[in-house]
Amino acid sequence: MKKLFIYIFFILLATRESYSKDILLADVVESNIKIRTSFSGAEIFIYGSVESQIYDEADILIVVRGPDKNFAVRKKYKKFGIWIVGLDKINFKNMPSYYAISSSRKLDSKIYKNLFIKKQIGWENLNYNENINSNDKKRLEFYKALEQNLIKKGLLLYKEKGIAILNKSLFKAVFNLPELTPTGIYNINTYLIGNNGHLIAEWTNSIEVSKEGIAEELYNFSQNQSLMYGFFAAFAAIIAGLLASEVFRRI
Amino acid sequence: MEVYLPIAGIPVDIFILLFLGLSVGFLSGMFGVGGGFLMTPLLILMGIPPAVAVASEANHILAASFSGLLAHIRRFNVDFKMGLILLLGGILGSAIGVFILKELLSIGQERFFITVSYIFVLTSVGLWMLIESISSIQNKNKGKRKRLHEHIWMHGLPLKVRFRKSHLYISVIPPIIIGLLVGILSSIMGVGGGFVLVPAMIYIIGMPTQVVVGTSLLQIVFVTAVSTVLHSYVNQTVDVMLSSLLLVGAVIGAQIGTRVMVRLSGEQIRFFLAVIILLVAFVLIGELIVTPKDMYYVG
Repeated sequence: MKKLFIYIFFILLATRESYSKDILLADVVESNIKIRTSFSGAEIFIYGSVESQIYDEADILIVVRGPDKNFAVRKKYKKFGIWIVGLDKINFKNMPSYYAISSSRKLDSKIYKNLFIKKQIGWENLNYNENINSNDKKRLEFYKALEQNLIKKGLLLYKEKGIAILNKSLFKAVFNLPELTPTGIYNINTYLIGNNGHLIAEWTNSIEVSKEGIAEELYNFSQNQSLMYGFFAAFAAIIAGLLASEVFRRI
Repeated sequence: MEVYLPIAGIPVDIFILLFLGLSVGFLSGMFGVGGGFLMTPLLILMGIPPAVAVASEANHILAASFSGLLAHIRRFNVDFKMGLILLLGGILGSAIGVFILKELLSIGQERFFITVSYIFVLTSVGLWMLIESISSIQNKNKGKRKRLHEHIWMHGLPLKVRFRKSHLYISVIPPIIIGLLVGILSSIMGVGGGFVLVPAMIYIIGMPTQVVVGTSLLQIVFVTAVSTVLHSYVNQTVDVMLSSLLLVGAVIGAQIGTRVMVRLSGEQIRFFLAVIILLVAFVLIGELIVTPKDMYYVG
């Protein structure tokens, strides 16, 4: 079904391109993504078109950014032969809870540096002045640790050459959302960047990522009505104990 | 087959959880203990966040001990008056434990604290049981007998009450303090506390053995119920998915375990249990010493 959608869209795009003035177009197959928690995650499908004359001198870059979150990072150290978590923490505020970048080619970071800092593209450029440019060695170290932590969880992705190009004008990209992906509004920015490092065009989409299934309902219940959830958990346990006792009395 | 645990935030293999429930249920049926002190460390070693392991295990114990309590009520093995006195301390202790855990979570020290508490409690209970079981196996061979309970200074305290079911006339202060300590232990460590409560009731309060297990289950049911509600409300750490999957395995395991129990003598049971307890403590000590894979803690 998804494939069919893309196919139809590409045909429409191909016919449309002859009279279109748009240099860059991008869209998402499903703007309402539901992660079914009993299965392993979901995907964001992005497809679009770029004017074919420009393509040779430009790169396409797609950034997917999940809802903001505050992180606190602590370091473990050894004391008396035992590993303990240090009491001092570093807070990183308003960081993306999910962050993924995909590009059409391998990007030369020197040429793009200014643009990336300005547009806050790439983990190293998020809140650049606060996180990277602060000369605080410890902060930098903890920031890198947070990066590694998110990469390990599949919440931070870099995919060079992750954008597939057809006919020098049609492109598509796929981003994986793991099960523990946070829910909320995701912003998708598609950039068309010239080889000299200048931004040619930018396109923005947003999608809503939600979760469905019993696990998600339980999670929401536990967060939104904590006290009721507690009574529910206790009551369910008592009923389960009662049932177990009745069943085994008869065996 | 993988199942996603919503509160723990990780996917786990459903069969591993069922097997874990079955094994610990088997041991608890065989040894007549709740099994929380084995289950919680194993869940932590599996990668479940310690605070979630503790709170969900409290919920699991509630279910398991409620069915046990019903069986003891049917056999009139519960001293409700003593249970009520124990609960005065127990419920307060449980609340204190939940708030201690909340503070620890906010400074990122819950894993260390829970692990160390386990090492401390498991090592002392394990060693004590090991020594006690070996010496009673030896005494039995020599044909000696111990007195049921001895009178110590504690029985001289004020606020004396008569407990008909337990044939006791003692102060309520020791039961309240014991209840309080076990309550704190229970909600911090995700255990019912039977392995501390039962010896305390026999050796400190001096209750007759036949009402001890039923009465301790009464305390465990109420304390874990309070823990479940408060952990959910204060820390949002109770994973119902986790506790119910554990329960399925544990209920079946306990029934098998109960049937195996009759073939072993009391001293032998205590000896094997002591060995298992010490093994878990040993693995936990290893956890503290071995260099962690991830040098950072992200919250």
